[in-house]
Amino acid sequence: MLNKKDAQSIIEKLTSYVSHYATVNIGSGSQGTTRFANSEISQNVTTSDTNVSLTVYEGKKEATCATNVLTEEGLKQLAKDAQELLKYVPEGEYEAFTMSKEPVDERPPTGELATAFDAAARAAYIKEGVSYVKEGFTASGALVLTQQAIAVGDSLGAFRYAQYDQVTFNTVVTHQDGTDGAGECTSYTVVPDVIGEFKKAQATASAAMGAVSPELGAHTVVLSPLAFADLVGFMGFMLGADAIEDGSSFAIEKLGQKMFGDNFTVTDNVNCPCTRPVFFDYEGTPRQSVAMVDKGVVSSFLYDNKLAAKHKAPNTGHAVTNKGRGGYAINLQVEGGSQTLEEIIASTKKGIFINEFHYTNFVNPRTLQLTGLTRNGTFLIEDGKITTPISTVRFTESLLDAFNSITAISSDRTLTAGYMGASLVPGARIDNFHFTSKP
Amino acid sequence: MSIKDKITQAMEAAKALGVDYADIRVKDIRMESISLENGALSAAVTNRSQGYGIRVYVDGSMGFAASGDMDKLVETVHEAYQIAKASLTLQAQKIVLAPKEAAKGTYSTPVVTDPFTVPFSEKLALLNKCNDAIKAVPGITYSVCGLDFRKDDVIYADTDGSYIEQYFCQCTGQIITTASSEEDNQDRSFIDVIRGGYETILNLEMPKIAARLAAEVVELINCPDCPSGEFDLVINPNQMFLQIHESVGHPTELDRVLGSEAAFAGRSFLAPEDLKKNLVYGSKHVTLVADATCPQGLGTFAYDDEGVPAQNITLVDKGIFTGFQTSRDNAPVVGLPSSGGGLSDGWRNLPIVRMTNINLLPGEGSPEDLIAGIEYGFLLDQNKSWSIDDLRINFQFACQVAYEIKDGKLTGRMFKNPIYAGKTTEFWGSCDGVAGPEYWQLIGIPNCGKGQPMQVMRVSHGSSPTRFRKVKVGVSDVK
Repeated sequence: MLNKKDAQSIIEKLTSYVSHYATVNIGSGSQGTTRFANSEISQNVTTSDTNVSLTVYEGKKEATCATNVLTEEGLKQLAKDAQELLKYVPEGEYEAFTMSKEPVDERPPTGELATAFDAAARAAYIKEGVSYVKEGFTASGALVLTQQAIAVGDSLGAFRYAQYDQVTFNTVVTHQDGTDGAGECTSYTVVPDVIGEFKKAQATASAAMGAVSPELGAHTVVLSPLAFADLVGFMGFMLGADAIEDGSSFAIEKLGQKMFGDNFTVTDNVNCPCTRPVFFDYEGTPRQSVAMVDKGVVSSFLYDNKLAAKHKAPNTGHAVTNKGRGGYAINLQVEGGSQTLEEIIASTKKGIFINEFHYTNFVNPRTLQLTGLTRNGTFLIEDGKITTPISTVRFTESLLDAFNSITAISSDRTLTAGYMGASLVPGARIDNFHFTSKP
Repeated sequence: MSIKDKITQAMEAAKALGVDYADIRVKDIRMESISLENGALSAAVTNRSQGYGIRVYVDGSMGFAASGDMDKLVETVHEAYQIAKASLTLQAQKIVLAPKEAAKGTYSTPVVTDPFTVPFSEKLALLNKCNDAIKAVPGITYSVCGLDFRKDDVIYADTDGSYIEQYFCQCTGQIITTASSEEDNQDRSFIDVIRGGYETILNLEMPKIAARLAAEVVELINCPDCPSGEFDLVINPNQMFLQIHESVGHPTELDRVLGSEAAFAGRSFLAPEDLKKNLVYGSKHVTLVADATCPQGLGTFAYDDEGVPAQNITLVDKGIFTGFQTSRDNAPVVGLPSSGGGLSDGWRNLPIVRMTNINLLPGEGSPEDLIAGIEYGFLLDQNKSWSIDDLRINFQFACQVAYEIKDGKLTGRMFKNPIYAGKTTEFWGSCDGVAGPEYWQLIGIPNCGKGQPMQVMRVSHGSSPTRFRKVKVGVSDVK
């Protein structure tokens, strides 16, 4: 993985090869993944790579070339290719947005995760975890250590660098009759409780045996943080300015309007101490902490340079590429409520507890209508207690309805791995949630 | 030192460590993307990625290491060796690889015109023509016209003495047209990914497609929602590809059947013993193959990423389940040879069971013949949404448009937001007609996700328009 000095050196060298304003993005890192299935290690891999992307600008023209060939010759070729491509491209809508030099925080990793989760340690964790799996059950899953550096800079001397380590773990414990229970965790900071998640998965799988088929129709559901995060993530996609631009978002012309219940607040909080510690976006803009939904009101979209200019809105620093495709929340969090998840379950007379959704997808993004299936531990709640396990069932539901029908949000929140980052999300109880078919 | 010498040195280093077996995939991948968004250039991008992945087996345990540093092959062998030793920590059964012959050979995608030699201006001119066709239709609120090109130079070698060089070239054409109203948003879109040269893009006649889609979407936005109920359907290849992918391709992958993907992509409703049970997967009209020899397919090659020759495997024969897709590490578990399905999405990743070209073989007659047999129903076109459970039984798909069929004819009336749902074997059992070979189309998709780390694979699926009886359409009736 490139350190800060080497990353800066590449950016300076590369920009010296071009005669135009230029920006450089570097992604460098390694990932070690130990997978297990049927209670033995099945795949054990590590990958390392450094990719450098150069964008050159001339007026309203821009061209981008990328490579992982970092020899002197490779970098010179990259500069040559980008300048050659620039000759032929037509003008776009905007001139280059000069990269910000405003200082941003850095929070380099302590090295604790890297030491605690090398290949030998990952194997040892899995061996210990599998020892808690009972006879008749098997465990599958993956324990992953990611070490990543991100650098951006330009030909005017702007330079930013961030580095982080992340551990993610997921397991499914399966009985020979097919009954599943799951556990998962992720962390950028402290050593996560991998063994605890094995135990949780086993306990859930044991409790889930003898599942009955649920009734279709409307139910009160209590969602685990993992299941709730899945739904919230889909809503988050639709608050990116690109979804407003392409017409797919439910929130078009709805900025400032109340779309959800008072108890629903979603932010993208770059200062959250437990989520991904990258304080600038792909374009080098400092990431802003943004309330996306504030007490049910759609309060902000997420922007990059181009779409902020086009929509005459402040750039929130959420670019994920330099192609005007921003932005996306990678430090998403949902505000917690006053009861613990346990208390919410205890106060539910009749409902269904859902641990996880599978293959969730939009049916219609404009109405926030989603479909998906339950997985890895779904149970009836009767008189405040989790009782009978229920088998896989499909939901089809509009989040415009569901997030207006939240009757409780838990005070306890869990960090869940998500697309490009992690989300800090509570559990929630939702009324009138529709199950539409079953296998 | 030449790349061949570096590879030889790496394999010798593996042997010197005393491994059971080792193999290497060196891939040099070049990509180019050009796209217009609302007529303005939104991307002019090239990318090159080269590197290698080395897999070693030590006492029946596997380790894999990959790097983009072309001067560290021997070090990477040692890294893979250490990882394999770590795997021994928890190894109940030694991994046995299905046998194969050591192979030497070459293969190239048939290409008339290398897309990377076509001038940028020519590609841009084509996209501008598409955009002009879209702009000519009032009411379009958003559009994308794009081209993507990719070529892979791949070298495979192993400690058994194999050395295979392959070259793959693929082209992608994409059109998205959108019409929005205050409360609604509808797309009509097209994407195809084809192995071949730039001629495949020209053959698509993308400006004509753009004009047709644009004209249709501005009408679609004002159409009513598709009715709910049980209806007979004819489904076009641009939706059939995903029906095949999700409800046949994935459940017949042996690694899923054996539980290797249980914690991520999921398992399968199939069991190894189903191969001997004459399990009814569909009607007599349903014959499905995994054909790695199919022209222009994204799953077409001479050898897979484990050095196993390309094959054409029958998965379902006239409705009866007959085969799994396998790779070398799982086929022996059920006493099968590898079906040549061990593929990785690039140099970074391990070969796992991936679909080659999963195709529904054509029947006979025309789409009109299929439509003629429907009293009231719909012709569905182009996928919009998809979801299926982790055993691959319960699926729900949405399409972009439903064309009304009444008394055996298309009425010209369109409905938006058609959704249909079913259970895999029941659904395929309701198939009572597949149109003939002259209507058969191979459609490529660039984004099949599987594995941890996630691998995003390019796969193709072929079919003709296909008829299904009494399918559940719509879910709005539950509310």
